[in-house]
Amino acid sequence: MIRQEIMSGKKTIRDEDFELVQAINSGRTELFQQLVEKYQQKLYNFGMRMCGEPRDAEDLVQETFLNVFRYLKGFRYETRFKNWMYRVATTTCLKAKRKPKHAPDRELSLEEFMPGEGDLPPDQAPGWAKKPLDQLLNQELAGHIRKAIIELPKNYRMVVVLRDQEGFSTEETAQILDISVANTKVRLHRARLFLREKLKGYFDHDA
Amino acid sequence: MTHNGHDHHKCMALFEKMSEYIDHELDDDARAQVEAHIRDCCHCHTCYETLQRTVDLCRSSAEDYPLPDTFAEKLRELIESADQGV
Ligand SMILES: [Zn+2]
Repeated sequence: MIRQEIMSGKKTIRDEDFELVQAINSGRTELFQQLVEKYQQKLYNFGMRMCGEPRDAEDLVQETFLNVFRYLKGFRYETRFKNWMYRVATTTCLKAKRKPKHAPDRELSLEEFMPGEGDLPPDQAPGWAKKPLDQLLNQELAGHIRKAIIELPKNYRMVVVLRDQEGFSTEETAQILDISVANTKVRLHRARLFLREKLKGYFDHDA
Repeated sequence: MTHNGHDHHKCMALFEKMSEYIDHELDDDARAQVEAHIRDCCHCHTCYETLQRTVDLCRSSAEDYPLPDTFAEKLRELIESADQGV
């Protein structure tokens, strides 16, 4: 086997899909169904997190697998197959027409989340930051978080979904989105601050 | 610009680094500075706790969505026809 291990900086990554991808690319295209079965749930989750609607998520998954199928021959193992597949998914997602009900594409500035001099954060963390997580998280709150994520502008939503929900590292997220690590960090921080404001609003309202 | 004897600029500088702190992406020096500051500044401590909680909630609420009925079947057919060049 050639290049089963990928050099990324100093780290060597093993790609668990290497052999399967090699086999498909050497002509056994029927094996592609194995990739579909393995990743359909993950991609559907990603689609739901990004689009919020089952029909849109289905479209995203279908388009992604079709594109992966079409372009797999050109995959050069510069990254894990899975990360490359997410690159295809995010590109597909960015190309999709913006839903009218979704947040407009705009930049979030750090200033809009900075506490002004007049309204410093309280000197004690609120109950929702103190309570054990499993006592706090219920279906209603999970639904509220989903809604808040959908309200983020797409460029920010994508970063927070990849980092905090799909579990990619900062470097991987930057690579998937083809943006710098610094830009990834900036977007992630602002997206989190945006979500924190939404949570504050939710709990203030609830209290 | 101070509150509770603290330098507002320091709080603002920290505010920008909070996610990197949460993600363990700061070098040792920067990390130690953040830790020293949030030990003393209750406002930044609150800011940190609420942001950390936001991240935890985001992670913990990320569960699998149920796949629609027949979706797996639909995908299989889609790829079959792509494979046959239809
Ligand atoms: Zn402070």
